[in-house]
Amino acid sequence: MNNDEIIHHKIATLSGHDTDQLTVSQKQQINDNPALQKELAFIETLWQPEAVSLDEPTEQLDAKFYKMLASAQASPSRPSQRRSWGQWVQKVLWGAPAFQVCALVVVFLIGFNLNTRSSDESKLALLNEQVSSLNTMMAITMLQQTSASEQLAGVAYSQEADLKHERLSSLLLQTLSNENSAPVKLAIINTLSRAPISHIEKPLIEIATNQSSVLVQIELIRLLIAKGSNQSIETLMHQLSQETLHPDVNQLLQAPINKSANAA
Amino acid sequence: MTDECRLMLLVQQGQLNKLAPLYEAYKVKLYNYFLHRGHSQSASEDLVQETFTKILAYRNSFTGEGTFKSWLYGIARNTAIDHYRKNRVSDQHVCLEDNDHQNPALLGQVLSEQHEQQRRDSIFSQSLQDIPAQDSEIILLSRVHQLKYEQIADLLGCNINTLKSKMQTAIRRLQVKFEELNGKQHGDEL
Repeated sequence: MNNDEIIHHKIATLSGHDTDQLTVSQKQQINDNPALQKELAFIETLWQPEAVSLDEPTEQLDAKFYKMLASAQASPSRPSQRRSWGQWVQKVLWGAPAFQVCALVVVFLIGFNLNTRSSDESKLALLNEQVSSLNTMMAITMLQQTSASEQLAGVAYSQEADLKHERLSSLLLQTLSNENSAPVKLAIINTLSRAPISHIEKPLIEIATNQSSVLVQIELIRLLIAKGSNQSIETLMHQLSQETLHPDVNQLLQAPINKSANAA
Repeated sequence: MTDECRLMLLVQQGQLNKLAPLYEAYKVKLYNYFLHRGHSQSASEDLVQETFTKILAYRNSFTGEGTFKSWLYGIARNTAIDHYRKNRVSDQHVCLEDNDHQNPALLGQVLSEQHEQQRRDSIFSQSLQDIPAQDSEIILLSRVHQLKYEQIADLLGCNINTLKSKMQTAIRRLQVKFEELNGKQHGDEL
């Protein structure tokens, strides 16, 4: 084994490749060569765990990723997503008796109405309505699960559902308030940003004020500033002014305050 | 077949939520992969996001024959190359300006026994930035991202013997640069 081969052997060993033990003569070859010893020592140092440190990305990266994932899950145009939808239906039909009954009623109503109404337009409208109802029920069922991935699926269904549905909006708010998983909360905020929020502004202000995750709090404030009424924004600002806020939240709040000051 | 391959095949079948554990497993390493290629912090985050967007978009191209890791790094590498082509006025090396502690002249200021390790880390980082990009990429893919020789050779489109030779050259260049910076710093202290 020449010097280069000994170096290759060292790198391969440190990289976790299967290597043979060095023979006595090869070890002697290293001992007799100070330059080779120095090179091997450097390689060993390089492979020490602390030699190359890893930086952490910001929370914004998570927010962007889970937003993208929730959007992809909600996209109805993907064929693979349709297969997933079918899998969820199958899973839920076997798992939740209440949903089983509801789904059967919905399917029965779709079939009954399609066969009794004459106009194509009314058939289409009815079909859309029934599909929305089914999505609403799927969302409700999934949001009641304990696993974050199933809740994320519930949020994805809620994007295609009627967000004014009392039970669904109540569940979304409850999950937003009590769930530990920030990705689930961020996905819910993303869903809420696609629909009117006037009927839930008040609870959203409470949740934003008491929110423990800075990132979720920032996104909630952004949502309320973007879509909330002036009165709600004032209430939010007032309530937040009573709290000790994270510097990032304070920084965010400066923007609308300055904006309104400039406008005045 | 590894767990990662199974998860990716489930993503392919429509269970998109299975991408989340893969993202969690690789986000930090991928972020550092782009950082070490010289991109700024914000550009590196964008590139991680773009890589996972591509994974979703091209999920059907994953065959499950190779490892998920090598497929992922292949996409990441192409994403970085595309980014470079689109942004000829590159954001590269902004991170060097951002991080004053990586400047060898300033490194001496923080020198003390308790900062010795930090100093060495900084010199390593600086050395990796100063050697040619293809050299640092080979070292990091092996050392930080723990890709096997076969996987790196596949990514770079060369055979294993060529890769071994490139690896050795890269480490020698790194060592020369490390000693140069280390010596310069000791000179500054004196």
